[in-house]
Amino acid sequence: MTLLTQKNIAPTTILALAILPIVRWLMIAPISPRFADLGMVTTSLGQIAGILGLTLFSINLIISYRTKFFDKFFYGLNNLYNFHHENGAIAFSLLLFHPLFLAVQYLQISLNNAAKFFLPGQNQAVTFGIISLALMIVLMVLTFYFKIKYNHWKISHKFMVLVFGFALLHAFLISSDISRDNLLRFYILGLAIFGLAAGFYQAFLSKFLNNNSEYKITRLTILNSATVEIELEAKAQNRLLKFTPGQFIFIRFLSPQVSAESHPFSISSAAREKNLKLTIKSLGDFTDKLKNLEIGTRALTQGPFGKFSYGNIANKNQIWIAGGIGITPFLSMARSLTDNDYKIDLYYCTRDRQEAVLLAELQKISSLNQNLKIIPWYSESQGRIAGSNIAELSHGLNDKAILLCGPGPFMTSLGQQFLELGAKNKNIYSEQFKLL
Amino acid sequence: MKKLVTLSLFIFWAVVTAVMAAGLVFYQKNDPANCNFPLPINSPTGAVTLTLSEIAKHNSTSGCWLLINNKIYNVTAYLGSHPGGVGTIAPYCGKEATNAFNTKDIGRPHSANAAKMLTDYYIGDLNQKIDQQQVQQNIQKTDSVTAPTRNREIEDD
Repeated sequence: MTLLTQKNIAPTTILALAILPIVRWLMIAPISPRFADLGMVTTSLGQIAGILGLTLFSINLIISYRTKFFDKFFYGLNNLYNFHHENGAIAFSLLLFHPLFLAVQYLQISLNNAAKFFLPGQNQAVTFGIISLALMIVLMVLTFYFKIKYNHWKISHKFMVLVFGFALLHAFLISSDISRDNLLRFYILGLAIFGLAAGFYQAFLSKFLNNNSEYKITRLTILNSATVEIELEAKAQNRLLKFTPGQFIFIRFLSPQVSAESHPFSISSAAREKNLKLTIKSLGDFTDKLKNLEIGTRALTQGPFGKFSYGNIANKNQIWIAGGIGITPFLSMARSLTDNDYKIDLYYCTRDRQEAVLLAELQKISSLNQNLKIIPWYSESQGRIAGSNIAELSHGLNDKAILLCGPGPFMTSLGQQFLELGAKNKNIYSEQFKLL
Repeated sequence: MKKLVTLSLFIFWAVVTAVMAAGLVFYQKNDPANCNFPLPINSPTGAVTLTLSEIAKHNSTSGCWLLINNKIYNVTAYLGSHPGGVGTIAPYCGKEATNAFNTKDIGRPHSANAAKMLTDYYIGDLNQKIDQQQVQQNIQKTDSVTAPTRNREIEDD
């Protein structure tokens, strides 16, 4: 059994929240008739899939509300987004099986009855369910199979609130255990109200109502053909952002040059600096256009979020590994590092020297601080870095904290290699710079 | 997670497409009125008493009798039309269902319309001695009642 560490408090709590209504459902009526014959078994499975799917859907909307509480609860907002993604996929699959299981009882009467069950218009409550599921299928297919532009996808995903609205109408209008049992009804209704409120707020109101801090661009440095560093100054100097190096913010630039939605970026400046710095590599449509922003452009930020920081780890003997632009949180950490107790090896893995932005600055910091060693690694000439290279260069992995930030496959591969080399999972910390 | 979603979507569309095609295109063949339900009573001729144990034999969705206020109803043909789904009635097939009918398990009675509709499915009284042939006729008659469309029944939900 795994211990209840900070990282799995949130998933465990949510699992409990999701199982509660199923426990109640099992208590409402005697269990044996519910599983008496094939028709009843499938009907019961259909009901369980429906209740569980709806509960997980509610929870997913609740946690979509971007707040520092959830950042702490999930031990970093990026863990929350991973959870949201997986939880959403599970809820969707359950909701797909919900009508399939229920159709078996109609199938036992006749194929025609079962076919009609899938058609809208037979019964208002069922029709709401069909509309909800049909719209959800469209949105989930967009999410999983089409690489549409992030801002278009973000708009499409707001319609999940509508999907949820129809799902609720379906759940509460249909004659079922939810309508028969008050406790179950109030539980599901309670979660649903929170979900609807949170989802609606995050999708439609947060843009206008949240406590954004306003910044403006004071400098924009082109670091190489694909990377820019944007320096931002707070409008209200007395309300400077307090962050831990390694954290990220959501930022929305108020400029016709770029689309208006907010994006997450790691802060790369030191914690003590007055201005914020974001080091951003062009990885898509939005980031590609950032170099066109003008000095003076206003920006709204939200945050900071995230738990990925050397300061949050007790062990001061650390290995930092950056893959490409995954250097950004380490930039902030290296720029902030003043404590001499640390002993850090920073591996900066890029394709070539050209791609290793701000390497010179890092080497300068290293020259002033003997506890920080910079090890550049160029895959073009040295080949992909292996766990064993790092183990050798850093004289073993034992009793060291390993911090990884880079593309998903880079981190998965290295993480796996470290485990094979005997590193303990609890000593490996990682942060994906791509949130979704 | 993508694999889970892909698999679920595949199964969903495969089942829905198959059921829709089979159920709507080959509708005639599968009309429930054409189905031959097994003859429910053992002795082919003579009289039979509609006892609780006789009712209990009709405890499935392919032959569903309900005992409501000491009257027996064969609701097999109605099952798929209930607004709450087959699963609402199915647990009571072959059993005493007066309380369930009066309260819908939520303390609210069925509408007058529902009570009227129920009479279409009446086949006899509890412990009534009835001719075997009469029972068969009643079963056939109630099996062929055209079930109301579900949206007409929505008020009853």
